[in-house]
Formats: sequence, structure tokens, C-alpha cells
Amino acid sequence: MRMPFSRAAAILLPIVIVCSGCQVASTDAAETSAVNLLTPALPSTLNPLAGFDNNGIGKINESLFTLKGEPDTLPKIVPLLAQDEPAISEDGLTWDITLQEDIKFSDGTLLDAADVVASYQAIMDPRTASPLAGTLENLAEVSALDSRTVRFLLHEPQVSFKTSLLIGIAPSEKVDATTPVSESSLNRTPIGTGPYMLESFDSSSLVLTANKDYRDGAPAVRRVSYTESSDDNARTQAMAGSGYTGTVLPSRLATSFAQRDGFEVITASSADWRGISLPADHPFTKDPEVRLALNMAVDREEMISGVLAGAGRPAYTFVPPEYGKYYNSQATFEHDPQRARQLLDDAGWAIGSDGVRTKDTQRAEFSLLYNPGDTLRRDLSLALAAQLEAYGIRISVEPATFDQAEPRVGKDAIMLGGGDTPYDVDTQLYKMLHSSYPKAGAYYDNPSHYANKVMDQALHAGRTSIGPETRTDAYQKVQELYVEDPSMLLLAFVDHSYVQRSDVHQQWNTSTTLLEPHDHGTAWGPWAKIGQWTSK
Amino acid sequence: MGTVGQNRPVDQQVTAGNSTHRWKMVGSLLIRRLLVAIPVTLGLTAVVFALASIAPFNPLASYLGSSYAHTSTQLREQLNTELGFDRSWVDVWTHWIWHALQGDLGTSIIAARPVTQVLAERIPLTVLLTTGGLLVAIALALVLSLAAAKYQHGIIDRLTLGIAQLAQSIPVFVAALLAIGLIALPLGWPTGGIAAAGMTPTSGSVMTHLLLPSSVLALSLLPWLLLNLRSSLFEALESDSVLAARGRGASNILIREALPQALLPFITVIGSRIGELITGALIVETIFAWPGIASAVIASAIAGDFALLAAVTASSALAVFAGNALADAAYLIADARVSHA
Repeated sequence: MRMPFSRAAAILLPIVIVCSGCQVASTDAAETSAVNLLTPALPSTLNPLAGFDNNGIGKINESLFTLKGEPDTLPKIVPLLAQDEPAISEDGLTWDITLQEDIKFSDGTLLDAADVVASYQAIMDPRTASPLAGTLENLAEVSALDSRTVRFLLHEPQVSFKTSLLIGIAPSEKVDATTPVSESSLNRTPIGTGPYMLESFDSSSLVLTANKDYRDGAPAVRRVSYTESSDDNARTQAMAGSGYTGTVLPSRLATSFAQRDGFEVITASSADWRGISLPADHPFTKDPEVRLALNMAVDREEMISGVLAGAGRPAYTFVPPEYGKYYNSQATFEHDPQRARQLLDDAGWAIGSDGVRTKDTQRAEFSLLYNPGDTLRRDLSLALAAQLEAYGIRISVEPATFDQAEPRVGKDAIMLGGGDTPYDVDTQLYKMLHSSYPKAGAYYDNPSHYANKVMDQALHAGRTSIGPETRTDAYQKVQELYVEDPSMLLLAFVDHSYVQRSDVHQQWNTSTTLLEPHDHGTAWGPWAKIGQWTSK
Repeated sequence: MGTVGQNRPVDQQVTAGNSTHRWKMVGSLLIRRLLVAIPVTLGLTAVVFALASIAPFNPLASYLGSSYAHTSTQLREQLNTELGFDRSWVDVWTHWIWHALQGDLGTSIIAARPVTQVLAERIPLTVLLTTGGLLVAIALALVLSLAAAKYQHGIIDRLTLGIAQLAQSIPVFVAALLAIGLIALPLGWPTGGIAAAGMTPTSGSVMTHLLLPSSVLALSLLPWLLLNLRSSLFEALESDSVLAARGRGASNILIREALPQALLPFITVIGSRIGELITGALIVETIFAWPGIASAVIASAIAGDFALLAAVTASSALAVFAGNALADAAYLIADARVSHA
């Protein structure tokens, strides 16, 4: 019976050898002017109207405006397809935008106002069921004044409407406002004005190729590929072993590359906050002294070094220091356990026999809900519960998906994340603090059901003021008011970690990262502006 | 079995005389199974629709992603109506069946393209992965159990038992990560996907990328096949016919006498493992980033993507039916004693 073994070896061994051989060969043959990224999830659609690349960094479909800035500042929103800044009427309701001349789509047609109008109208039209519709709630009407000028009419003045001009523009011939975006041909065959065109898109990879006719010349990185690998550990191993240029990883996995030769870890700042709501309807958290005490009791630095593996910065208000002149550096909470205990004692919350504080018959306890699919939120919730237990406050941590938690918003605390639309201080703040929400919007807007007339006035002044100084003052005031009576317990801004082979710097002059929103991935990080990389 | 003719003239007569008749029986068996499989599969899709509709997943939340939390209730209602998420599952199901019977499987919401395109792209890759895994597992089970039966209770037998127990106790995802860490990385083999970084997949690249995932899948199937075949072989070696062959002084008894007997229950086991194969493929596809259909199952269920969900459940149900039917058909051909199935 030795025969079958030797026979099996004789058959299998050559296969094994051949396989390892051709793998090496194909890596060598990879194009040198290509960047290959490993991504946790490929987009399901490439249609800008269905929400692909809607933050002004579209590679295929460009937007009227784009983001420009350093890694640690709030990016400026600067013209891209637009020729100039928008001409805003005195009442702030009419925005006229002139397009640049002679911009061509990759199919050769010229970009004109009709394309912009068709794109925005399709998003607003409920028949398309565009996921972006919610971001255009303040837009009343969009129309073409002439072939190069678009007019946006708003319901109420809003300086931050500029963030809505970061949506990609599609050619009007391909836009159908009467059918759902999931049936649009743009999902698989996008046509845009951007530096890249689609080469191939299948279930495992997305490949973009340089647009040779791009108005600034074809980008130096000729080919960008995104290959899907959803498992974090598998992605870590693939990054170490195969020929990929870079990937996005949770920070605890990314740090393993910091010491390794040939790789660099890039951390991008974000306005992506995590924190819990302190509902106004709850007998414990409705007490303003309690909310202030909680903000002083929690040790944010410990959470960042523990749960986030260092990849984060403390969040006291919704405004991170990157917001520059809008950031109020006084608006912080000092970690002061003594003072926190004092505040709770003075407010009548005395430690009971079982170690939990009580006032009259009410115990100092509340439920904290977190999304079970998100391990970061779970870990932060548990860390918070552990920290506050030392103060005689009992938190029961419960998993609940977003729609399970919805009916309990305003009654129970919820571990939330934010910073979806961070490119203006108004969009970062308004819905979280204005008392007209959540009624005017969705359940998770103003989740603590906080109501303060002075705060409302300051937020409104910031939203509608056109003068830059009144605007700055208004937001300084908002943060001042917030730290006096915090409606939430914010914990941290989560930084995003990327791993990249360090030899890209031998070949390319790369671009820097931008301040990132909540959503991120290989479209962001050091590759957000890959079309602007130049050869060395 | 022809080569054993001189020793077993009676058997040969039975086989030759019945061969056309047996093929006819196989045909009628497959047709009968198909007649059962189709209504059962349709019924199964109804159950899946019903389950998905009461599952605590919100299809609109998956559709909108992170913008869901900040979409107003009014807009949500509009979108629900537009996307059909507010219709009852019976409604959705009958609508789907009606179109499916006309060949239109609908549009997948999460993939934003027709379901037929998604299936056409992904099913071949899953079939490749699972057949590869199954073939490797069968080959390994044959070699190892024959070796074990040759030296019963010897070192090889114990090793075989050890391998089976190890393979059974290591979860597939651990085996997959170990395979990447211990085999792929040191040898420079591909760790996932179907093509090298940035390359367009070719049939060659698919084959090289197939080797590791299908081996891991094979490992997860191995214990069942191996232990079953091993005990069947042991049993066969004790049987009267083997005793008779020993008495005749026949050579190579293990392969010529015991193996054909032991293969019969083995065929049934293979057929019944098809379901397991699909579950195993789900995990292997996720870790090796293999763009097959199994990974679409969970995504479509969570997202309430009824069109895609129905298509993937129907195809996996049909695969299980086909596996069982083919195993029974093989039985019919392999075993002269079986007269109906």
C-alpha cells in the first residue's frame, strides 16, 4: 500500500510547485504605475446619485465643489466644476453657480447646467429613492438660468448649504428621475468628468483607469484597483504578504505594522465622534448637575489609550480643534473625580447602602444601548459603565440595533456616533442641539431631547448669518452654552488608521489625508486625492 | 467491476443484464426528484420571505447606511413605499414568484443590478470552490481510510483518527487563518481573492487562488467522510464475502472486495454533506475574499433584499436536492441490490 502515497505525492507536488511559481511571476508583472488597495467592502454602486463618493472627493464623478485642506484643519470647500464661489443673494436664499467652460464627460459630451439640474432633481425626486435625499431637505428648487449657470433656491438661508454641493454630477442623458436609482445604468457604468474612468467592476474588484482626456492631463497613477476582503484579520495578512499598496484596518491591527520594515501607518484625524445621549426624560440624567458631573467624572484619555489603542482624541463638545476659528478652546471638561463626586453629593445623590447613589427613591442608574454590530461602541459602553461604577452610578449596557433603539431615544441613553457631514460647523452641530429636533428630523437628531432657547438662537444665528464674524461668535457661544449644561456625554473623536507600503514614496509625491467624516475606507486616507499624485 | 469478473461471474451477469434498465431507473428517479424539488423550493422561498419579514432587520436602514439615523420619518415612509419595503411578505413573494416563473428574478437592491447578473457572476465561483473542496476531501478520505484499513489499529490508523478529530475540532475560520499564516505567507501564495493585486482575474489566477480555500474547505468536510469510510471499510473486511475471497486466496482484497462494499454508504454521506459544504463555503468565502454566492446570503438577508435572498436560497436548496438525488442515482448504478429509490 505504499503505492497510493507516492502516486498522490507525484501528482500533488508538481501542482504545488507550479502554483507557487506562477504567483511570483504575476506579482512581478504588475504594472508599476498602479496603486492596488485592499478594501473591506466594495461600493454596491458607482452612481453618485445613489450616494457613491458624495463628499467632494469623487474620482469618476466630480462635484461642483471639492475639499481642500491639511490633515488637521477643517477643509475649505473650493470650486471644482464651478468656476467661482457661489453668488448668494442678500436674503441668502438664492445661490447662483457658474460652471467652468469646456469640461467634458468621459463619453465626450460637454458638461452644462442641465446636467447639474438633472442630478440634483433626481436626488430630490422621491421616485428615485436616492439615499441622499435627506441631505437636500433645505433645497426648494434647482434650475438652469442659462447653459452655464445653475440657480439653487433654498427654503431658509444656510451658509453651510455649500456642503450639499459636494455631490457628484452625472450626465443628464443618463439620469432618469422616474425610476429607482437601484435600476440606473450609472450603477455599473458611471460616466463622469473626473480624473478616472471605470475599467472593470465585478464582485471582487473595482479597477479605475486614468481618464486620458482629463482637463488637467491624465493623472500620474494610471490605474487604481480596489480588491474586496471583508475580514479584518485576512486583510492584515494579505497586506503583509501580497502585492497590495495599502488598506484600512482597525487601529489595534494597524499598529502591528508600525514596527515592520516597508510599511507605514497613517492616522487620519476625523470629526467622527462617539458619545452617549443623556435623555431629558430620564429621572437621573435629566438633572443638569448630574450631566455636568458625568462629563467631569469620565476619564476620556484612559478610554482612548485602552479601547481605541491610542487612535483618537478626547471629545468634549461636537467641535474638534481642527475647526480652527470656530473651535472654542475653553469648551472642555477637566477630568476631576473629586469635583464630580461633590456635584453629585450636592445635588442630593447620596451613596446608598449597596454603593449606588440614590435621591429620594430614585437610584442613580440608567440603560445604555449600543449597536450590537459595532464592537467599538460595545467596548466604549462597557468601559464607560466600569468607570462610572466607581462613582456610585450603575449603567446596564444593552445591545439594540438602530431601529430597535428608536422608540427608546429620549428615554434611555444610547451610544452614538456622528460626524457624517462634518465639513461645516453648522451641519456638525445644528441637528444635535436645536430643540426643533428630533421632531423636525429623525429620531437620532438631538437624541437627549435637549431644549434651550438661548442655544436655539445661537445655532440659528450661526446658520443664517452671512457675515463671518457673527458666525464665529455664534459658534463660540454655542460651545460655551454646551459646556455649562452639556446635553450629551461625548467621549472621543475616532481617528482612522491606514497601512501603506512605504515604497510608494520612492515613486510618487503623495497627497495628504483630509479631516475625515464618519464613513471612511480606501476612498479616503492617503488615497483620497490619488488623482493629484505626481511621479517622482 | 469488470476485472473481478472471473471471480464473480454471477455479479457480472446481474450488472450487464440490468444496465439499460438501471439507467432508465436513474432517469425516472431524477425526474421524480425534480418534481418534488421545485414545489418544495418555491415553498422554501416563502418560508424565507416570512422569516426575513419578522427578523429584526430593517431593510431601509441597510439601504441608507449611515445616513439612516438622520433621515426624517417622513422621508423614510416615502422611501419605504418607493422601494416596496412596506408591502407584506405574501405580496412581495407572490410578485416575485410571478416574475421568477417568467425568468425575471428582479433587481437586487444591495448590488444595484439584476439578480441574474449577480448569480451568473458568483455561482460559477462557488461551484468551483465547493467541487474543488469536495474532490480534495474525497481523495484524502479514500487514501487515508484505505491506509488505516490496511494497518488496522496501527500507527497510520491512529494518525488518521487524530487527523479526523483535529479537523473536526478546529473551526473553519481558524483553519483558514492558520492556512494563510502558516502556508500562504511563508510560501508567497495568494492569501485571498481570485487574482493578484490589481490584476484582472484569468482562469489561471482563479486556479492558483483556489488551491488554499478549497483545501481548507476540504479539511472541514474531511472528518465525516474519512471516519465513515474508515468504519465501513472495517465492517466490509469482516463481511462474509471478504471471508470467501480470502478463502479463494484472492489478491488485493482491500481494494477489490472491501472498497466496493464500503463505497455504497460513502456515496450517501457525500450526498448528505452538500448542505454542510454550502455552510462551510460561506466562512471560507468570507476569509479568503472569494467572490462567490455564499457571502451574498447573509448580506441579502440582513438588508431585506428579497429578490437576491430568494434567488440564493432557491439555488442552495436546489443544490442540496441535486446532491441527494445524484447520490441516490449513483447508488442505483453502483449497487445491484437496490431496485428502487
